[in-house]
Amino acid sequence: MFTTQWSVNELAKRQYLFKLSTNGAVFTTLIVLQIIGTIFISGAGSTFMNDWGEGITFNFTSISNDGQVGLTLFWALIVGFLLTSAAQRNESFSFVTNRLTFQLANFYFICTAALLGGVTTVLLGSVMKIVALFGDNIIIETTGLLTSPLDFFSRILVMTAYTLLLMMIGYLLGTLIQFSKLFIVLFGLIWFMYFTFGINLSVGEGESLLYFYYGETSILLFILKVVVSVSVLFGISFFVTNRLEVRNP
Amino acid sequence: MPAITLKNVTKSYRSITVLNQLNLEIRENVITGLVGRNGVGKTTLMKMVAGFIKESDGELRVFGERPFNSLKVSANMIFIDDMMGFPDALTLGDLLMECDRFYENWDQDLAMRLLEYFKLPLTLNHRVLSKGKRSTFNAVVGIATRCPLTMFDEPITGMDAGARRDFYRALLKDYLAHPRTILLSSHHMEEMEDLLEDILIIDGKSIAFHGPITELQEKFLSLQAKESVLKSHATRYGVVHRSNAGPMTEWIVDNEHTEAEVDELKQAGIRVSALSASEAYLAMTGQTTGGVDDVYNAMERE
Amino acid sequence: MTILFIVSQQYLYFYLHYTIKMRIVHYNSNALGNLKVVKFLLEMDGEKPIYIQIAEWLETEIIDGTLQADDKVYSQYQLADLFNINPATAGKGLTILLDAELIYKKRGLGTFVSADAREKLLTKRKSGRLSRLVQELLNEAALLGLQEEQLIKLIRAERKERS
Repeated sequence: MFTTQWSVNELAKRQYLFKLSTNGAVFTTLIVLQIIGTIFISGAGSTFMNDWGEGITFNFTSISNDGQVGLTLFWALIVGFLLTSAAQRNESFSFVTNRLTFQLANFYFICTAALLGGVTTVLLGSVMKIVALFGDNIIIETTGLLTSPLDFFSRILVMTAYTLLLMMIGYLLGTLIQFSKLFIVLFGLIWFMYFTFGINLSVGEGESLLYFYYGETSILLFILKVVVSVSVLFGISFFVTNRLEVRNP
Repeated sequence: MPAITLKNVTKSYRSITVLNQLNLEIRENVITGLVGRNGVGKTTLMKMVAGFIKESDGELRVFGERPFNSLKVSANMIFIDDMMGFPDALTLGDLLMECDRFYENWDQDLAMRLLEYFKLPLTLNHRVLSKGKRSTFNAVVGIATRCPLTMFDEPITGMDAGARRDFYRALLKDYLAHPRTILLSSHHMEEMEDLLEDILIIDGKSIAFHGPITELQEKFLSLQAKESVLKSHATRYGVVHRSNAGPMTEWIVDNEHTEAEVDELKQAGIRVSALSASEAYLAMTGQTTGGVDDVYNAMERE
Repeated sequence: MTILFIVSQQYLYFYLHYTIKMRIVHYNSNALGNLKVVKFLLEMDGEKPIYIQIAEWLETEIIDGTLQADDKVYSQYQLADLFNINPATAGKGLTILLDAELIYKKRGLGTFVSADAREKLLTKRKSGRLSRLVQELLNEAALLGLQEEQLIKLIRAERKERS
């Protein structure tokens, strides 16, 4: 007779803790990437000189952490994709799980990773400002935690939202490919068409799909858009994975 | 209630049918041996019961639950085989802690003692273990989880003779102390047959035999004598298998003899003996030697 | 009582040793194909199912007095542990003795040796097993062309050697 009865929540939590302990490499990779980004990319700020005459010259240098943002988003896409690998599934199913708790644990893990990605990327901006102060510079325009805390936190929020979105896209791509290898061909084809014929992924009147997100000026609406998109992506992944056989030769 | 029930269960991958219309009831708290030649679907059956893969047709129940996507079945079941996935990042000690996290009946003390006995340091990584050591570790996990349904698929792969003996002994002792439903598949039936209560033989996508192992032992008799003697005295019995190599001829016949008939056979100079369960199994599935002799004999004739 | 126990353990050791030896021969015969002949030379009446071996072992324990009347008999779990076999198989060995009323059950306490078990067994073995052994002896003698007198001579010589 059965002796053990778990609730879905309890088991999803345990699977999530299991994922954290087995996927530490995900977080070390992020840190390494961001260090690399800080050292090699942040040097490329744009500089222009302004000669005011009378021997006074200003060097305006605007630095940004766009490089780190790009790297973090790339990392997010890959992490989402890798979470769907057969190895990840087999490892979870070596212990107690069903497809629901397995996916919930993945979702919790993705949220954790996205939050970490968002926070560290924004904080790196502050790090770069400190680095800049070591030179003979004066920072004349900035928004930081102390000057405008609301802006600072909204940047973290936005960065986290983008990371989450990219992870879920990677997760869905991975899930579909796990379901059928034919999707590799399909995705390859779309990629090829996009670059060869420049077919624009557009919605509405010529606006690009990406503009749907970055063109949004209200932070609340932006968050809403991301939440809805993430729900749809996760919903599709969930539906597909729920039928997936484990350790199927 | 039976532990596992199958009603007309079929499993196929696209057009290939692996298991066809199985009807079966595995008794609770019984050790059942699952045997059959390579590729008859033993692993497929176990994976279906584990809820890893979905039955294509029919009704499959494990303690009354459909296993695919059942959290209840997963929590009360463990499936051990040599393809088990364990994360590279964790040491054996970490893996034991994970078992503790997921399995309510887990006996950490037993697991540690067994690993120490088998000389498996907790600091090692699962990935670096040799094939036999990996099987040993997995087997220890299977024993120490004490799941109401414990399944071992070819657990002794790569183990040396000592480890195999110790594994069977540990499994029996643990079963005596904590009775549970155990399903055990192996190609080395002669090594595990004393451990079994029931036996399930799969042959040609369906069930060839399912019942107590003692019933299988009593199913046949072995008759040995010169061929002419057998031909004059034993032709009325159903012969399952004949083999001719060596100075004696052996017939394996259906055991439907009265004691008087056996005495008569003995008086005619025929050696009458019981078969072990594994010999009976080999005879039933046509795996006795002589089968391959036919191939060579046929080639010589041509 | 202690002495008896030690004796029985030793007996068990020999028994197990013997069983293992038999089994090794048995495996070889599987590996080499039809070398069952070898097996037959070693065990005259073929290998019996393990539960019958256990029933016979318990019978012998009763006959030689290791297990006296009203002594507690090993449980099926003890037998399973001792002989390294499934408890159901061990139970089947006990059932044979129960059916023959050589042992009896006390609810909640276990099984015990019947008062007349030894008597019953002695009669049974004389009429059953011994006469079968004689039959087999005669079969063998006929094969070798031995006369009755020669056979009796052999038996006498063997007995003399033992005493």
